[in-house]
Amino acid sequence: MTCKHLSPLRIGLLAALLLVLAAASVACAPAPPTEEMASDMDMEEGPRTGGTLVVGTTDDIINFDAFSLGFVSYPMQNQCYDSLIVYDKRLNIMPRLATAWETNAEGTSVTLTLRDDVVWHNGRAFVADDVVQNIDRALVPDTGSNVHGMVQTVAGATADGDHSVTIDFAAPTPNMFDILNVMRIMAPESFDSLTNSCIGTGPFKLKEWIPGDVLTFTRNEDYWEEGRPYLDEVSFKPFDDLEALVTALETGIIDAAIAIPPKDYQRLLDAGIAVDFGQGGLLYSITVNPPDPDQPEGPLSDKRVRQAVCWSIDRDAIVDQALFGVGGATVVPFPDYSVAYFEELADHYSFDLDAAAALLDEAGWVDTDGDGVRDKDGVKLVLNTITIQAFPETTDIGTILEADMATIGVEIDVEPLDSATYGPRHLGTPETDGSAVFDLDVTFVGRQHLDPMGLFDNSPFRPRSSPIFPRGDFPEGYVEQLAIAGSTFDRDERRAAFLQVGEIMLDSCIDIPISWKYTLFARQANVHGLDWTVNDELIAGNTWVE
Amino acid sequence: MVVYALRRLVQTLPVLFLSSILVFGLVRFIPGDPAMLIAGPDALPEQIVAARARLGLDKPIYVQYAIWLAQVVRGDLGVSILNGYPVFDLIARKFLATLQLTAGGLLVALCISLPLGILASVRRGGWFERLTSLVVALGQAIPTFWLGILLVLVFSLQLKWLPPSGQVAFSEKPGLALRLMILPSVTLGFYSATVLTRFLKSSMLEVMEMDYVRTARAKGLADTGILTRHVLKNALIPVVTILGLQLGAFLGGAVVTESIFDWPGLGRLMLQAIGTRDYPVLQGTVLFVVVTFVCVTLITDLTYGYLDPRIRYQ
Repeated sequence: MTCKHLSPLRIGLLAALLLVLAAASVACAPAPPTEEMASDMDMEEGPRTGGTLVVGTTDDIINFDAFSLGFVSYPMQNQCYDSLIVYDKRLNIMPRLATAWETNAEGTSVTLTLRDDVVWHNGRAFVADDVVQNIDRALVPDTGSNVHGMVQTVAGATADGDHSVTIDFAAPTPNMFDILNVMRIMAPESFDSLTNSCIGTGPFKLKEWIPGDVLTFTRNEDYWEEGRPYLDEVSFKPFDDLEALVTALETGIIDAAIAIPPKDYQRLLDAGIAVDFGQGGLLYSITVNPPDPDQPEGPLSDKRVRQAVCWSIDRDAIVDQALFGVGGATVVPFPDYSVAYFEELADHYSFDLDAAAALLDEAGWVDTDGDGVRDKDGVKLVLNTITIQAFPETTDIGTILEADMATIGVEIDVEPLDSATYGPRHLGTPETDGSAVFDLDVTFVGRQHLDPMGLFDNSPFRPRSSPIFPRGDFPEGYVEQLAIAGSTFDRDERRAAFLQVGEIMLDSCIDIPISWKYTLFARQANVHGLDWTVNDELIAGNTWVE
Repeated sequence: MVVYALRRLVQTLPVLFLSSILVFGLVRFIPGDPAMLIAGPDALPEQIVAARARLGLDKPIYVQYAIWLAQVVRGDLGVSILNGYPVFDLIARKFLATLQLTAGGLLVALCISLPLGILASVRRGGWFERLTSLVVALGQAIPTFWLGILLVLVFSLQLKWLPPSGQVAFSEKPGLALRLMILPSVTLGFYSATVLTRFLKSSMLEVMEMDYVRTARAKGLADTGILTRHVLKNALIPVVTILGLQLGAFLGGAVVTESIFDWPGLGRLMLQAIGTRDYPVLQGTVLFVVVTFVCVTLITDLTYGYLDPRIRYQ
């Protein structure tokens, strides 16, 4: 029979039959094992050695410099390197390359005892001088990368034989263990080749990196932690398209994924994929950028306009609609266990558009021409708001703010930027004299969940070279109180200083915390032991696959 | 013929030179700074300045262009400013994947367009021609990204027949390589198939009206013989031009298709280089695409000679 003899009716019936068969094949497909079933199997059989874990990521690694704390790179780098100590999930200090530590009474020195059974990936023994060279590298601005800003109080390090090192600080440094936790140790002989290779002491050695395609680590047979890692290999596969990443998870092309978008959380759960929340150490927030003293005054020069923005944040709507429930609204940047957390500040701002409108009226911003946008001296109240394209939820947050503030006559001009464009606007450039180029920046900050001083390593809030206060014109008392909080171990003294800093930040409205940001780790049901550090770096050393 | 080919090659030199200026200029006009990515998210101003100096981005733009051009003339496309790999090696590796996808896309385009175009012209005025017109209209109206996502939804997520993304070399796992190629090849080739169908159909109809075809019929030659020997060969000449352009576009990297299917080809390399402002990789890749396009156009021109001996190369 040729097509010529098929009537349209027959073709239609044939197509319908094919559709029914296809639907039946889907309906009869075996359901994926549930997480409960998988857990039962774990308990019976225990960890298994061998296999490969393929992890999908939202972008490729940039380089292997462990001091470069790029959000995408550092979870991958973690397979190659170890740090001296780590924090467990409850923020207790746990040994890694250092087995013991002792601080002096003044808190200006720490002596670390190092493991004596560690070898680098190239076979050389790990010694104290390697730590000294890493600290020296961190102290130089050009090589210290993002760790350099954290080691401002480090005076230097000296080796005491092969397995003991003393780090001296110019002032008491309460967050000294945060520095040791974040600083992963690289082989000094690899310092010149970190653009595309790594030599560490971590559970996996670099096997191959095909930029833009795949990054593969292989088991370190000489790893110091007995019996680890379980896997033969771990591969990281970057996806340019977030939808393709999620689909690859759903269809089993990849075993796990880091930092999946909040909008796909429920979809993956429905597909039988396990999704775990990371430590929640990041914070979605809006940075407010007042004009510098040498720039013309703008709407944000007036504190009342900044406060109007602070009153216009509908955190509940943001968590529901932009973060799909994956978050937790907060008005202050510190978690409730932090020494810098104060109950009395925790509800300083609520969502109150009437209060915001009243502040704008008081500041003289009114709609004189009836076009729905407030103005003053011929200038419209329009706020340029940058967001990060790679994190679409930041744009959604900007859009919610845009809708809310439009009702009180403020135009929010949302501008999503890719990473290479966002950087210069967020940090400023030599051409802008280090001054950031935005009114509002929907972003996220990190490390404030450890010692509170971690927040003040983030560029907008650091006392030195802040892109929103490039001339150092911080609100009165901010720098002084921070200096006190960062240089004493006395808890009461610290709390008093942090209280003042908190009040200054809330009153001046230079930072608007919105919600905790949880890194979502997704994995197939046959992947077990997938873990992460307090900074949400993937730990594949304890992972095994069935 | 050889002289013609050589002359065309020489003519491409000014094209390439102008392209190099255009490519370099356009790339530098994209806002953004790769030094920021290298220096890290909270870099200090002095670290950004140092990173720029290391990358040579602190030099005047004409000096940067001269340095790059001198390298290109020596056959050196430089190294990636992010990962330090030679740009030529990166392109060579990705080009193989692109070549694989191009072959698949071309196969799909030809498998659809040849029968549809021929049958629609032969059965002119019938339901098959109307159906073909509908398919052509749909194919040209449907955006590639939409078709790709739809195919993934149906064949990967619902029916679970085909993998949604990834690529392996044929030499490693031929079966899997073939399965991985199906969806991206259909996505890439479908639009071209509809373009080719339209051209082939109209070209066939035009040739079928020619006197020599009527003569052949009058002489009593069989329809099949007339169609294959007299009509199709002549009707293919304009189609080859379109095919050449489509092939050039495929080889230049199908950015959208490669992104949807996570296909590690030239298109994704370009996209990633744009995202990270990896200037040497972006400049090298775009220049490579220009050269490829010029070569494909040259080959297309030379193919005319085979299909139509009346064409003489002066």
